[in-house]
Amino acid sequence: MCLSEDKYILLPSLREGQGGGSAIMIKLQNIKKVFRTDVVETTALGGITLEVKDGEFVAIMGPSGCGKSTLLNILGLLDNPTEGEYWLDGKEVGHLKERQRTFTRRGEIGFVFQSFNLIDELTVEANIELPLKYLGVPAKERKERVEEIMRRMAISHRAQHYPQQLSGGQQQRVAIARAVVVKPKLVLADEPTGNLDTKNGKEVMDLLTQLNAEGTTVVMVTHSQHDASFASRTINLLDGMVVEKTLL
Amino acid sequence: MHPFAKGQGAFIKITSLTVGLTVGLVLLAKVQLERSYDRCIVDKEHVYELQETFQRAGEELQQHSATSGGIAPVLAQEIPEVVTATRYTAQFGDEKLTLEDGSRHSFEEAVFADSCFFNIFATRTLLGDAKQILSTAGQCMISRRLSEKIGGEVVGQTFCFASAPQKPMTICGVYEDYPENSTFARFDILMSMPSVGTYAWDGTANLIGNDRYHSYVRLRPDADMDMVRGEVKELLQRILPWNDLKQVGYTDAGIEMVSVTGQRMKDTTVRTTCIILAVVALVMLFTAVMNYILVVISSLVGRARQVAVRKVLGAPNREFFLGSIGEAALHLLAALILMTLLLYAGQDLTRDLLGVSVQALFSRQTFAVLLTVCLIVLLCCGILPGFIYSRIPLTYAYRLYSESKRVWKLSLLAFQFVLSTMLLCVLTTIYRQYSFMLHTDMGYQYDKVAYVNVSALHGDSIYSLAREIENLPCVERTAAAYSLFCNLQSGDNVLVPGNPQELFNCANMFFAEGGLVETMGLQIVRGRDFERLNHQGWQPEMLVDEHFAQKMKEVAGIDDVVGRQFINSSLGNQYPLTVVGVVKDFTLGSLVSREERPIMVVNGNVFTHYIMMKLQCVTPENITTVQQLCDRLYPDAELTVKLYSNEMADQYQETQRTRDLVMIGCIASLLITLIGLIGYVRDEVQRRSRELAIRKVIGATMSEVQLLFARSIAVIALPSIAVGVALGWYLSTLLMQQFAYKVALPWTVFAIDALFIILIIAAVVFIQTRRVANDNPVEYLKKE
Repeated sequence: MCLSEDKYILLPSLREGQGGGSAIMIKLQNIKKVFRTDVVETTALGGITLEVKDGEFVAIMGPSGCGKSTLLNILGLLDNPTEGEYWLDGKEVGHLKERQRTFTRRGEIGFVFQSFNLIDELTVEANIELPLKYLGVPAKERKERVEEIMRRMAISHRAQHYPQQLSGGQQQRVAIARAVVVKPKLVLADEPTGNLDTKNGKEVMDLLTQLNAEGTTVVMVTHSQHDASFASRTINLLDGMVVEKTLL
Repeated sequence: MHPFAKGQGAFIKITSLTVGLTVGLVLLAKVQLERSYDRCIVDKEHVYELQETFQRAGEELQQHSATSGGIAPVLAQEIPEVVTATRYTAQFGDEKLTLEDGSRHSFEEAVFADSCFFNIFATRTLLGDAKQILSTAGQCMISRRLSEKIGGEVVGQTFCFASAPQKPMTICGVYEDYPENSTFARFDILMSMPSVGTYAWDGTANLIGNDRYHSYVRLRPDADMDMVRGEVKELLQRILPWNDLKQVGYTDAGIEMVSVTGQRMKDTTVRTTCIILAVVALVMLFTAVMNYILVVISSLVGRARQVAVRKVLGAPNREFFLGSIGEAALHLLAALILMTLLLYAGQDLTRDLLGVSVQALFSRQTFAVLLTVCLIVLLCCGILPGFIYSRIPLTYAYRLYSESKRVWKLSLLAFQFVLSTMLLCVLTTIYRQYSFMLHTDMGYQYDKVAYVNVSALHGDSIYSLAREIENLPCVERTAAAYSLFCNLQSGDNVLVPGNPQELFNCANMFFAEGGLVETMGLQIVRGRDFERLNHQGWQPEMLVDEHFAQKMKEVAGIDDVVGRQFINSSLGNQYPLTVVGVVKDFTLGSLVSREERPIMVVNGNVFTHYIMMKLQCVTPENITTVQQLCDRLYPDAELTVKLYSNEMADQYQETQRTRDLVMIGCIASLLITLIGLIGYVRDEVQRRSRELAIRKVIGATMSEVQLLFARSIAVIALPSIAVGVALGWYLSTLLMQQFAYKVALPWTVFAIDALFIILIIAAVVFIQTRRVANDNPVEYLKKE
């Protein structure tokens, strides 16, 4: 896999290796991830090179163990690559320290997980408010933004409920609300419909599509061809390598 | 349920129990020993100590815990309700005796006791006829331990005390040692009362004066105390020389009968120390039990499914209670074995700290109390976990145990925070008080002073040794003296020549030679220091303190005592003493037992027990130089050069012991609390790892994750610490009641204690949460 085979038009600045321009949200250059223990060394990503444009909706597909989640973790700045460069919105972020990664992640990236990952001890409202708190948004503004996003996600009536009192679909809507309340440039979704029934799954995909339509870049890992069909492009992984890109 | 199964915290449980039981049981045993003090007194509830009372015109009634020698026998003879009476008086202590064969043996205390001594203070007579021995001049009985120290056939052997080399005493009997928790534990030699005259002035038949005898009577069980007191008063009216007493200024005199039952615990120092030790002991035991239960709750995650499955299969709740008690019993047994090993290894330390041996602590007298405590610990550690197991829902047989039980755990931790803070506050107070006592200005300077006890020397040899020591380059000045400043002195009455009225009682230091002022750093306010005599002898002149001068002004209208003559009741009318100087007030005794009377000292180098010396500086080399000189000049006298500051420190030994015990309790309590806290945080980190990961994913930094934990602990820790400080302040106030001179208790000290505990808790929380806060959150999300 190499960049020359890419079917996308790259901005001149990226072609010249000067980092991302405004049109490129993500640029990965030969990203490798190797997990080492005392006895074994496992290559999860074998040298990924790809780009995602600002405002794009990309699906990442592949069989279990192909490196999808590892790639998503690197994209989400939850983990650093062993090798290679990662440019996010024009800034090289592949080798930041933990603290710098956290600050970059805040407000820039929203996460949606298959198992929702809401905090059980917090109400819906408090769950959604949490990233705004970490971002240092004043209380009044937090309240307004949380109310607004809950309205959009149609969960206002559940504001004071706890996650365990909600259905799967409602929980995922709360998770999406929490992901987008900071108005991130990039939303990373890890099999967002994996734990949902068809109806709720469709609602979630509609929400992601709507977010994308409003300008948010969405990268989604999925096993579902149906979900992938919502994306504008699919990247297929196999054994830690990009094997095919499909423009839909 | 395997009691030592992995993941069930058996190590932490046993460690906590070992630490808690070791400190707790030892301290409780000590308290129990104090409570059963003097159990050797026969028919204790009918035994009374005789204490003399006296009053001067315009002064309060004084009570003295001794009497003149003849009081007890007279009461036995004249009061029908008195079944038996006895008296004893101390004469020699902490010195050596020399047997005929020249061998020397140290002993603790030698007292004169009359033939009825064993009637009241019972112990077994191993050899000899006690009645006969204690009735015959020149005969004595010795304790079993001294007999074993001497070895061989002791009866019939004759010895001399080092301080009375020409006065032989014959060993005629051996008695069983008194228990360690008795007034008589230190008694190694009981000399017959008729021997008093050989060693001291014989006041055994006196009804007034020479009041050095500890006197006791046992009454008939049916005696009416009011009637007995009336009879005693009537008797004293008949037999005391009232005209003489009134002539010297006394308006009243009497004998108070004080019950010996519970007498030990009436002593403020003993009672307060017991309260403190009991509190520390209970804190330790409570903390250990709390921690045990905390670990049980924390390890429920690993045990809940097993319990639930057993329940599903039909196990009754009784099984969990019994299993839990059995497990606790095994842990307790392991802790007791470890405790035994610890105490065996630390026997000397235990004796130093508590003043009693480990054998005495774990003896018949304490067995019942300690066994009861162990049973309570067993029940607490067994029943409560059993109750928790019995409440585990059956549903946990097929799903993961997720109950946080945070309220339980935090409540247990809160108790531990309270108790640790409380102990730290008490420790700080004791530490400050001890330091205050050691460094308070006593009115003289002793930091460079050393001394040597020269009781074993006589005549000119003391005088010449003092001069030889002074000639050493490392010594600035010396002074021979009858006693040390840190010892309490006997009293003498002071009179103006020609007037039989006794003006007041003062502490008489007897003789000290010129050089005392300089050696001890006293300050002459008026007049001059003694001129040193160039021979052995004394001069009829004295130094007094400002208190003496002031008192003389108040009672006799004498403005300036310098140059005036006074009579001292010990030396009598034939030796009027001229005051040559007044020194600035200084303290005799210590801050625990401080001399309040005016002070006088006579110029002379006779009856010298000590040579005091001011060193150029205190170094081991200088002490060795003086010691070598003493050894060279008097190789047989076994003289020992000691630092005066160590003697002062010994005056506060009880406070030091309390301080050390509370320190051990505090450290142990903190240790157990930290074990509990570490366990709690580890458990919470594990339980909340997913939540922490989520928080990190959505933007929380490492410090924010750590603060999250710190806040959850702070909610419980801060109020607990506040309560602990309040309790610590209360206990400190209680503790301070036993000291006449005490350190202030400013709030800032308690604030620092609180801050210290907060910092320790914060450090534990931050260190414990560091790993999870640093780890890749995805790892924790994957586990879900």
